[in-house]
Amino acid sequence: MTKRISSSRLGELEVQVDECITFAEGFLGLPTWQEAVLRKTEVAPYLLWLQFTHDPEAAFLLLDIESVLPDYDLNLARAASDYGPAARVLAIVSVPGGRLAKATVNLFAPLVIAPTPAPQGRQVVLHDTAYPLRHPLFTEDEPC
Amino acid sequence: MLVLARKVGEKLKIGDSIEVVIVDIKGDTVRLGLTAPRGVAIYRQEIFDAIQRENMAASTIAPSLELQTLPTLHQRPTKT
Repeated sequence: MTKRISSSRLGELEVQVDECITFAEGFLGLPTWQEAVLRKTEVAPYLLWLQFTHDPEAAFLLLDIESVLPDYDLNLARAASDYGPAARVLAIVSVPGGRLAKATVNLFAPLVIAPTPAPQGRQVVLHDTAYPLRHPLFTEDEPC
Repeated sequence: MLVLARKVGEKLKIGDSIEVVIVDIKGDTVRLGLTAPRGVAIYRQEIFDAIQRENMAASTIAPSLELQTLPTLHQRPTKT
């Protein structure tokens, strides 16, 4: 079964109902952001859109942590989520002023997404770790 | 605000499912033990505020990423 949603970044999307990820608790500050789909970005394979279904403007840019930061402890995040080893761990990307060169990723409160039984996810907090809330995604010595 | 005095080892009950125990007091630091059902998230206030701020900031991202050149990835260790 499919449904159509619109996205201010991606245009009209046809999504499978069973690919919709439920975030039952929403997000701190954004409690109504509860259902979303993952989509590739055109900029890089390690960046993804999490487009929410209730509002075309509601989206996070996410980093596939594993493919960029191999020393990150994914299992710590999975344990905090109560999801199993198959769960994906992604970080919310902030792009201050829309300038990608200044992007930071939230490694302290990552998203964990479990594929089964129905896709579900939550933002977890890695209490008492040194993971930063704003880890610079790109090096700063680039001329941008 | 309700203010209650408690000694180390004594407990508080919030509703019928949340329990707070005073674990230890040293100087001006109180260590609390908290028990709550799954689905009740517990945060230090400043961490709650910081994550909320960061989520809000990330939610207002500009839509025109495709036009930007990708800078070099920063892949140094994430832990200090």
